[in-house]
Amino acid sequence: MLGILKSSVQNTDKDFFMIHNLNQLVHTSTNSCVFCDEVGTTTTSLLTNVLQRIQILYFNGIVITDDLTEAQSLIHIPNAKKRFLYLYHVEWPYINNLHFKHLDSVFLHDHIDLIARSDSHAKLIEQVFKAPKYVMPEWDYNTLIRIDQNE
Amino acid sequence: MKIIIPNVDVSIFRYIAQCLETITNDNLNALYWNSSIVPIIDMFDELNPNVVFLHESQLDKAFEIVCKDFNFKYVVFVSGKTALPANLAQPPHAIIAPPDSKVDFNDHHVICIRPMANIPAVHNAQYVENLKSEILIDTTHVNMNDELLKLLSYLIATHHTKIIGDNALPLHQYMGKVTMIERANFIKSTNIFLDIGTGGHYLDASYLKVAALTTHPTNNIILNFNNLSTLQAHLNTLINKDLVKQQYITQCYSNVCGKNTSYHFSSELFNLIGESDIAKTLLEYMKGITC
Repeated sequence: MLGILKSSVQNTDKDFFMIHNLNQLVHTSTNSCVFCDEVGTTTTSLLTNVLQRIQILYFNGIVITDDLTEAQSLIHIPNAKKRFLYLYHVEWPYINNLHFKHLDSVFLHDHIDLIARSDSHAKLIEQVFKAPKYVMPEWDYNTLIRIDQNE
Repeated sequence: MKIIIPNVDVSIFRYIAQCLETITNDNLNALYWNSSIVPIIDMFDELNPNVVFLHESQLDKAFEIVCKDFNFKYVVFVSGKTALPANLAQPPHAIIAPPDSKVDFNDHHVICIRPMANIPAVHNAQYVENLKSEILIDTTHVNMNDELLKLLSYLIATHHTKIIGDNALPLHQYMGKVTMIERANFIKSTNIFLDIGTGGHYLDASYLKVAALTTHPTNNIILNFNNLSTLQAHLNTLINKDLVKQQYITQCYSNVCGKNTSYHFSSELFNLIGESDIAKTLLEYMKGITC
């Protein structure tokens, strides 16, 4: 069971691909749900379950987030089977007043694994932090199935 | 003996405080004084210190009062841009001045700040796998310009580089601001430390037995560079010739431990103000941890 943690789902490129691929998952044996506080107007409707973000605290499946803010709470989800940070955009240099402890507590945390979007991102992420466990192009649902089966 | 050091933003005060902290015992107390909260008169009333470190801005009317009421030695840090007030109730036992001081303090004992390894800040550094890099750059106290950014771009493109420090850079390799311990571990976990500032931070790396290069050398042992081709040549040597690198590290380490540490500076300062026991203890402690 995959749980996607986000603060909101909006009409952005990464959310478009997320919705598209989660909708593909509906036709497979891999279950998924989205934990978020807000679903904005999107070009495609989300066909999978949407639960309030707070419900993630009771979730015992595999949690994936592509949101750097939400990533800070990954480690506080007590029953999560696995925790993944999907670095869709390599955006950490743009964090205001960046302190290493912010990166250390998420990107380098032993209980959080990383997912890269491409091989070139994976190379960069491995150099700066640690080797990503998966490379998943644009929320590719085949990779999501693989994560669900492997973990 | 009570030694008071104000909690002001002066690096050398922090260095001295850290050195003293390592040798404190029943007879020697080094205390940090938060001068923005506790007035100097209250501090003297409560602690009656034997030695006080002051910033030149603290030589005011309140200081005149404590000079009349208390018997103590004091060391003053000056910016070196203006002379000391002429009517001081008591002359300082020593003056700490920056190396580029424009003022002549002829009548006083003066000790000029020089680049040094601040051993208490780095001594316990450990190699951390997650922090490892081929080249590490610290941007703290560095004035970034186009030339340096070009240099960083080259290093990022050609080497496994990490960047830390107070000057944020819009680069993926920039890991943010670091604490004293994080900084020490980053240095210990790199292959080559590149010092692009003027503060002599390469000496910390040399103390940790990490090969260092600098743009602002303060001795003739450290490898330095002022253009890309020189840097490339040095990097090639240090990366590809392990024996040369090891010899270089040993040489730099000996140079630092010989005279270029905060313990040496502090010891020299305490000798200057006639506190030779503290000066001796500082050097003995230094020898003890480096032997």
